[in-house]
Amino acid sequence: MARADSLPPPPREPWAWIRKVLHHHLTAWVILVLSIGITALAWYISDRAQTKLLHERFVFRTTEVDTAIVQRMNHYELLLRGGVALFGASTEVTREEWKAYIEALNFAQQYPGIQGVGYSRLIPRQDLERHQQTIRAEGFPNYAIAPAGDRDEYHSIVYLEPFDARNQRAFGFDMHSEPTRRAAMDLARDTGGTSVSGVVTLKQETDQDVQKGFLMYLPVFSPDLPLNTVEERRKALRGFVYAAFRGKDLMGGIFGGRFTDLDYWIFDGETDDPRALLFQNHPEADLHAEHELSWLSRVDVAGRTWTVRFASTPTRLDQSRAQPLYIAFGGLLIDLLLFAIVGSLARTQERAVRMANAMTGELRRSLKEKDVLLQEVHHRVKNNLQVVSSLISLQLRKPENERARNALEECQGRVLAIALIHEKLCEVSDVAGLQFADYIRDLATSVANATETPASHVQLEFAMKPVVLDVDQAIPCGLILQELLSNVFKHAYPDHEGGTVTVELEEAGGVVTLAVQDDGVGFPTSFDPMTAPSLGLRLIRLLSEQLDAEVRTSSEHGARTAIRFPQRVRPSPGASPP
Amino acid sequence: MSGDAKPAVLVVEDERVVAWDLREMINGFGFDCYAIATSAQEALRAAETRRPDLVLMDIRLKGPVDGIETAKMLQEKYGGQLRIIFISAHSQSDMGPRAESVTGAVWLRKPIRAPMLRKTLAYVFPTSETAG
Repeated sequence: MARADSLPPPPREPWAWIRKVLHHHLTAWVILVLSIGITALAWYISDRAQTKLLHERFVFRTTEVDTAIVQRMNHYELLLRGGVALFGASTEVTREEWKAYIEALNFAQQYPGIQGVGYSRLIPRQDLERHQQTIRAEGFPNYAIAPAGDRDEYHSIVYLEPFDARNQRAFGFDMHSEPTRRAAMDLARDTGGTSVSGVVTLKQETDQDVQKGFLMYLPVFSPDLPLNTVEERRKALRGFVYAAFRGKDLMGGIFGGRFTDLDYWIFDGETDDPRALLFQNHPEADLHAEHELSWLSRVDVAGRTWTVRFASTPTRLDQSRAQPLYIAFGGLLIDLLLFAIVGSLARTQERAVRMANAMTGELRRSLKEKDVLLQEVHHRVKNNLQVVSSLISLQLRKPENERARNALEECQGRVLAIALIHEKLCEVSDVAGLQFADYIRDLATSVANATETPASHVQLEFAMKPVVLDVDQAIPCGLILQELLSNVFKHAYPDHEGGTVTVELEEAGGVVTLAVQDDGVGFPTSFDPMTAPSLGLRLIRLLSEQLDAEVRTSSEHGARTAIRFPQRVRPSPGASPP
Repeated sequence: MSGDAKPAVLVVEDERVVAWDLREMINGFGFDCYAIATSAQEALRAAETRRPDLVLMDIRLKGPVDGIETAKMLQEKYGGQLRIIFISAHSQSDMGPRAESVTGAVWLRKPIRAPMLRKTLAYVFPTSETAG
């Protein structure tokens, strides 16, 4: 039986530590903290990725704006080139032809945002009067080049389509008289290409909704003059095909309600100088405010540089900003679920452990009680055997004959041999078996002391290996040994000369060998232990049969008796099955 | 106290038959077993009537006080030179450190046989006449 305080360990489980960790009451909290940490990290990463994505989207949006401006302005330039080509094809373009050309282009629908497309004719000073009369004769009696005054050359807007009320305000206006327009006109003339003016207020503006505007010019030259140098081009100039743009109308036409998630300001020139502001998509936006997202780009519009300032916020670019939020809230939900699950696992485990501990404790107590009870039983048996021994001892004191006295002493020796077994069992508290070598040592000493022969004359020696014997084998074996030893002490040294008695014990391959060897006088000749009539020898025979033992005697150097028997192993309840 | 020089022995043992056997043996060895007690109380009373030279003391006694405590009480009263022989089914090692608290005690394990007892008494009282 296993001792109460050494229950067999539970079967080993390779993943037992995982179970142990999962069931610890701190684990749920650790997991909660860790998972919240992971969620926070995931949210942070997602948020950063989102922000980066929004930055990229923002920059992309700005390029979209830039591209839209450049493309549209290229269209207008093409449109003007068509006008120039019209003049190149014929010596004179009439008002009707111009009107027909512009109407055919249908730009009001195709390219909304343009205020008008016109032709400004160059008039040398000497032709001024004749020119004014010619136009007046065409049905415009109030026609006069404005502003008036004496100049070397005059430029007059003679055609301007659509010729509506607003555009008629510019009819006859000398754009060359105004520095900003003049600069652009001279540039177009000198380069022979397209030019765009700086910011102006158009002649077409009324008192209401005054917008900033600009103009685009293409020169018209005499087809039969050379144009290789600036001088030649100046001489060959006949006028300009031009377009007038109102900033707000133009940009409204270009963007048409798109890009509302951005604030942008378009400036004429290389900088974002507010004085050169041409257009701003959100009038309420503050250029000078601190913007979360900000970008400055430059676009080339027919050789002139415009600067575009962009501003926005991530929220405006993606109002939902959903992904990081989903991650944060979804993650937190999962974290709490995990916490709840692991926490309940731990609580369940704690309850189970408490119950198991209570049950184990009870089991231990009852095992201990059983142990104590068994010890008590052995103690009682031993006490009773002491009483038996005392009874015999008292009987011995009556003066009887020698034979009766010997018989009683032998009897007492046998009782004591059994008592000693119980004493040993008492000590080890293991009822299944006892260390037989210990028993032999005690029994031999006891037998030696019980003999009236002075003990110092007989030396005891032991050649024993540790052998555990079942109690069913230990008792007959102990009785046999008792007989053998008392025989040795009684008969081996008849003259009290003394000697050495050796007890051997060993176990090999399930066979136990127990032998007693002395160096005394040896067995009498013609002695056969199997047939000898004494009680002691008959006991040895009977007990050997009980043990399935084989008895061998020899008488070479003193007497030797050896018994060999198969060791019986009773499965002990504590041991695991094979 | 009797006039002869036999050492006075007190046997404390609650098993009557065993106690009788012990008394016979002790007297046979030339000692004077003058009293048998079965409990601590009886032992102290017997010691008061006549001071023993030697006490054979069982560990398990009747009553709540065991042999070791009784031996200690006797030694406190009559001095450490009072010799104690414990007779017990237990070995000394079973009793642990408590057993060592008794001065000069000798342990004798039950069951007790005459030759062993005779040798032990001779060891405790070497000058006594121990012839049976």
